Amino acid sequence: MSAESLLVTESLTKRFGGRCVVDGVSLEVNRGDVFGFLGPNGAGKSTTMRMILGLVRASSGTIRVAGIDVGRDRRAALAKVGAVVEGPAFYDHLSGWENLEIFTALGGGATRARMEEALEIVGLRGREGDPVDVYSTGMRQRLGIAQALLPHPEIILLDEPGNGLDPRGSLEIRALIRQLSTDHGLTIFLSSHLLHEVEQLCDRVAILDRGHLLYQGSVAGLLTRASYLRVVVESPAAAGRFLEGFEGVQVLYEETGSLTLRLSGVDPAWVNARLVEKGFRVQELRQVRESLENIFLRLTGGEREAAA
Amino acid sequence: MGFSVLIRTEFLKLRRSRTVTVGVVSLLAFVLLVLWGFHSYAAQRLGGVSIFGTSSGEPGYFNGLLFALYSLYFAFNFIMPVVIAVVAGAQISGEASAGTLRAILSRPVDRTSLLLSKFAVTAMYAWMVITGFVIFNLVLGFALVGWGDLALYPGPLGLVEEPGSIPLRDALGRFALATLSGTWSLMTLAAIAFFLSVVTRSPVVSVTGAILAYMVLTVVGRVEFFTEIKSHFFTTDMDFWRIVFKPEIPWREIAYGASRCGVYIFTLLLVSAVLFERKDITT
Ligand SMILES: Nc1ncnc2c1ncn2[C@@H]1O[C@H](COP(=O)(O)OP(=O)(O)O)[C@@H](O)[C@H]1O
Ligand SMILES: [Mg+2]
Repeated sequence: MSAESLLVTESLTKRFGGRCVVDGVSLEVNRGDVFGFLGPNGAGKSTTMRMILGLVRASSGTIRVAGIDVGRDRRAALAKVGAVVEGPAFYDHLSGWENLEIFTALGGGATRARMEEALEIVGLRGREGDPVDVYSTGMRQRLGIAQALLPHPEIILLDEPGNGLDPRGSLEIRALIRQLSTDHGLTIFLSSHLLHEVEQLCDRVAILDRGHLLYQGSVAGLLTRASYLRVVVESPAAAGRFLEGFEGVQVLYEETGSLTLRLSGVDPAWVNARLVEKGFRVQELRQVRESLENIFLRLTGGEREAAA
Repeated sequence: MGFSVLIRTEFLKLRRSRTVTVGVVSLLAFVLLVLWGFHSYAAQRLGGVSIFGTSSGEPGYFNGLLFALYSLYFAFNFIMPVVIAVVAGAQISGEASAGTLRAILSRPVDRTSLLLSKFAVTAMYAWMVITGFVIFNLVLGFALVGWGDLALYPGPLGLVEEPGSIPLRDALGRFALATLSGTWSLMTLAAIAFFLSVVTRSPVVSVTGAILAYMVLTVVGRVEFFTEIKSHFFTTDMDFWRIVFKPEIPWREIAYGASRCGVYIFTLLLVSAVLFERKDITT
């Protein structure tokens, strides 16, 4: 590993009354990553985040933030972390500004200028005087991010930042997260149950299901595992037999007029070239993305196929 | 990060809080109720003479000080404990159910310091509410009825066996003392509400739990049947606050009552702190 790891968990486990909710999860988030923590509802994402923040005590395993053990020196570790856990929560009867004052005081305080800067970054300048009561879900999310930014953290934890937002709202939040990474050099650890959200934002991803880590690596790596190639071609049966001879090509099934393939290590253009070379008339090549649910079925239930 | 910062943020949260507003408004409404009662009670005793407007003449037994004492005494029976239990009982569970507890504890904050600062702020809040209440009653009593010595008779207050009196200047000092003994007494109930607030995640449970415990024991303590065990009720210990109005201040009894309340307060706080340190914040 050449990159410096900023957040590391080792065999992190949480049992709630005998039920294992997070089971031996070892994560490694490097400095500069936009790291996606993907999993269906109830997978244990929030519980993992809560353990990282010291809200929930790990049953076993260790967590380090910038080399500091959260179990040993929680306060020093948390000084490096900004977080929005499971939907931003505020004192709704107070204004956005007053809320920032309260939360920043708990982390050692921030200057007025810094608070204004944070509001500027999240695009809430001018609305800070309004009571949080009247904020939309998107504004609350952005105030949450402003709060997380205030103490100049090294890493920001965001738990399902897109939850409850309309398409425009989630687009804006994604743009903001991207900006935090590129313009402000922040490391971001975000959870989501939406593959497309993670795919659009993250360079690295971990997949959690029922407390187990199923995958950890690059998004590109996941997407090759998660996509199919649909080939519309004359005589698909013959084309299928031909392609099956190549390394990295797996024929999943044939239908009238088309073939569905899974590729590993070869790209669609290469497949196209082989088919054309051999004289097959290729009418269409289309990448079919598997839904997250299907990836899970495959990752958890072996090789049972369920192509879209 | 210092303790004073935590105290300051807790006060910031109480700013414009609906609980606080409702508490203050209901206390003011209560004063009007007592005023009405006091007026009609005095009228009945004095054979139809109104006590209002006597401030120009010489104020007799039914003066502003007595009114303030009645008001304080009746407020302490029920409404003041409720106002304090509502604020104390919501301290942890209220923030847990609102989700702000996880936001606070995601900051580098020491849990025990947070808990203690919340209790300290509840105590300061209680003292301010009581003091404000006392001042309001004294001012109102002075304006409407006038002041004189505080005359005490065996009666509803149950303070003396035979008639006695406290000179005006002295009586004002007693009211000041009562704000302190009253706060300490109420903190016993606050500590119970606080403890419930740590162990449940619903402010409704912690607030009503504390109020119910208080009400049941208060009511039961007045029933003949429970006379023998009454001395074991925390509500009996809380009652010490008002003996500061005895003609001769019974310091020893005050110290005894205050320390019994102190045992409750410190034990409950200690247990709360231990539980809170180890609690998984899952809301
Ligand atoms: N306090 C708790 N007691 C028992 N089970 C819990 C508790 N909190 C969460 N769980 C369980 O842990 C699992 C993971 O929950 P969570 O971490 O919230 O998942 P996610 O954030 O991925 O949706 C769920 O099955 C949930 O029911
Ligand atoms: Mg969650």
